[in-house]
Amino acid sequence: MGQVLTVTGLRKRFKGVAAISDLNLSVPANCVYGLIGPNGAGKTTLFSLIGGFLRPDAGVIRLGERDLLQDGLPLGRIGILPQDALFQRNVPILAQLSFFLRLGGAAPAAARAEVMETLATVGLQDLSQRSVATFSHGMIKRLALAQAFLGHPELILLDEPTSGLDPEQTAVVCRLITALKSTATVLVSSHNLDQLQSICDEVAVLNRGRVVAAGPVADFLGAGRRLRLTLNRAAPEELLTTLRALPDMLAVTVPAPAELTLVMTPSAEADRTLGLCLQALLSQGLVPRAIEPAQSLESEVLTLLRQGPGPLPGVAPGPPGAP
Amino acid sequence: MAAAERPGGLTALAVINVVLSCIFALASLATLVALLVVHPLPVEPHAERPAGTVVDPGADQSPGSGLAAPGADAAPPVAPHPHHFRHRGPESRAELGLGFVDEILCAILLAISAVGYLRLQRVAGRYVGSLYGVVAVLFFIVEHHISHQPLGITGLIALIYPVLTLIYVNTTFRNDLVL
Amino acid sequence: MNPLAQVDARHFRLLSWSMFTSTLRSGPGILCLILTLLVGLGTAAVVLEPMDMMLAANERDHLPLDQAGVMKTLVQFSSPMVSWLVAGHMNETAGQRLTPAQQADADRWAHYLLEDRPAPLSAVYMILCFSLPFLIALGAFDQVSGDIQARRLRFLLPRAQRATIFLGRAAGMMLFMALLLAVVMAIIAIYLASNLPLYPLGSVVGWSVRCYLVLVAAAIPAVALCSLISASVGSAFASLALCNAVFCVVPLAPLVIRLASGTTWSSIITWLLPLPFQLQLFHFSFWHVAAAILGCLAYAGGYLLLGLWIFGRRDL
Repeated sequence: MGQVLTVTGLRKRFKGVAAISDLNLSVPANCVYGLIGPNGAGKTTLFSLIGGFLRPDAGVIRLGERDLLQDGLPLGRIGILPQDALFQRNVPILAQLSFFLRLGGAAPAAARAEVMETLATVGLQDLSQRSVATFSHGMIKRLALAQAFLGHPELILLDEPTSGLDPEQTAVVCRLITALKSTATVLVSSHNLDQLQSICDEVAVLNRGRVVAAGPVADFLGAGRRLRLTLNRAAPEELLTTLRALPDMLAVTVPAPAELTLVMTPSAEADRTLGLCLQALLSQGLVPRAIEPAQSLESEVLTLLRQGPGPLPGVAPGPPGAP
Repeated sequence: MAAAERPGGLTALAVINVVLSCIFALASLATLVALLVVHPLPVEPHAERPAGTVVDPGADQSPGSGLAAPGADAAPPVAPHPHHFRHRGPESRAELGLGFVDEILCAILLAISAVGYLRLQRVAGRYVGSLYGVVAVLFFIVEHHISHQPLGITGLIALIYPVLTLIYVNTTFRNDLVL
Repeated sequence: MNPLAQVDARHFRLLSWSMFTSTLRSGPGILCLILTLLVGLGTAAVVLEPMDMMLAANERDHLPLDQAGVMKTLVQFSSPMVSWLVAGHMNETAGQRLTPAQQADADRWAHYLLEDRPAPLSAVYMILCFSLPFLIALGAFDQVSGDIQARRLRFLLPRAQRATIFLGRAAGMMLFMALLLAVVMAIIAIYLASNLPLYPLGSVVGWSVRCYLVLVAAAIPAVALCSLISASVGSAFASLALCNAVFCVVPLAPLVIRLASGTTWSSIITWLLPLPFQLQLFHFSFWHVAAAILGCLAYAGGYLLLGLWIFGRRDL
């Protein structure tokens, strides 16, 4: 699969503070690519640099074969949901979005029709004659999403598209993003890693202006079936040895005194192994109070960020082929 | 909520309305005082001269002098000097009364339409604003007809705001004044 | 990459029309509109009102109109303003007292404006020419600065080039001022032609059209400078303050410096604006006028190019 967006050696400083330092990234075509990182990692700055809002101090950004910094943005081919941009407060949203489409070459009537259709996908079609002055935060966010989808761009940058949305609206947005995969490449950032885990094909983890890990989501989750058990008391070491010796048991770790993480082979035999494990615990008077999946992007990313530079097993430290 | 949705131009018009409303209200008070207390200005002195009198502009600098009276064939037409004239005041109490009605009506209509602009209301904003424009223009025409004074450019200045209001509330802001 | 090559005609048209309509709806736009009408018609009132009164008294007393006398009075009323402006301009240009030849030139110029052309119109338009920058600053200060501050341009940048956005908005503002000046001058010309039939209609219309083009030529660099300032600062209020400061300080600073220190080099400051030759737009010589128009357009081009360079590189 070709790379639709390639970022090489990108740097940006704000008043002496490095927001982006030697960032390299490759985004394949027709996928949902997640950007993860703590506050200040450089996600919004990266979006702003790709979108042409900010000028980098160094580096190259390519959309296909086109150098965006040399040749400029290809108009109408990129849709952006900026994190903190404001709409005009006293102009109806239909007029504002129609104007955007008319810049793309649409006739006035066709522009209005497409805007109404797009507003319907985000549930704002009944408010087309109102201005954002009377909109809630969630409504403004949905409007901003709608403007990013206008004109069917081939690359869509969504900076925290679900922040401020209620669970129902969040689900709608996630479905929309997933549906776009067939026609566009979506680069999305969010602090809700469970969401990203469900919608993204690949993710990149940013920290302090650099990509510390990047790759398919499955690589982050790792091989094997993982379960986390919360017990009534700590398990003795002899019991842990017994559990580790069970067939199809890959690893048993103790993340906390009364917790166990079991890593089993992803096979049908794992159910039998789990049963044997539970029997062994109960025979020693250890009662599992909770059993839940331990495979989550959030836990893996937090581990990655805590352990500092250095990739997770099976995850690339940066984009393949980066200098 | 309406404050944030209102175009900046409507806010500007509302502010101007309030200022003009206050000015008209004060002017109406002054006109009322003039009606009740002060007599209208006397008629021009030259109208009292006997027919055929010719005044030499070099000799008599009093107002109204410097022009040959009708029918006087001894002196050629003389270019009038502006110092020989002064502004004419209203000739009758009717003019003062008309002025008072004009000022008080405009003050009220301006105040109501200012509120209408701020609240984006159709009746108080668009209709009353249009009414102010029409009333101001009509009173202007009537007052000038009664006073027999020609339309000077100062008069045109007085028409700027009413005409602009009429145009703005019925075109540019038509779709905003809908509540 | 040449920013001018990026300008798309369709985007330019859409953005300039959008700027024009949003200026009509905005508070500063309405204030600019009302003030320009007031200043224009007020200046005409100052010049024409005495003549109105004289003619009204004439008509009331049923006296034949002494056209030559009235026109002589008109010239007397307009002469101080026109002569002062012309002499002051030539004094500034010469940098010292006028030589006899320069004085003769100034007299000839004043005669052209007062005798060869409708004197009241000359006075009105010359005064309007000097007040234009302040009026324009009130309407044109926020071409992009407010949108930079609110980051509204981020919705436009994926759809139009920066150069098109910047130049389109400048053009929209120029269109607004051109139409506004047309309304002002049409009112004055129609009033003069209909109420004060002292000059041939052709003379009034011709001189009005010529002076309209002159005022537009004077307005274009002022709008362009406001575009430059608006693109340079990221705050609408700062842009307004800076626009007004430039239009006030640049003409006054040389005078203040000369009074304080007696030096004459300070007049070079006025070259930051097209002030030294702007009055040449009213000159009797075609070549003077053509050179002045080219100078105004050159200044406008310089301001716009600098603004384009700044806007193209700044973070939005």
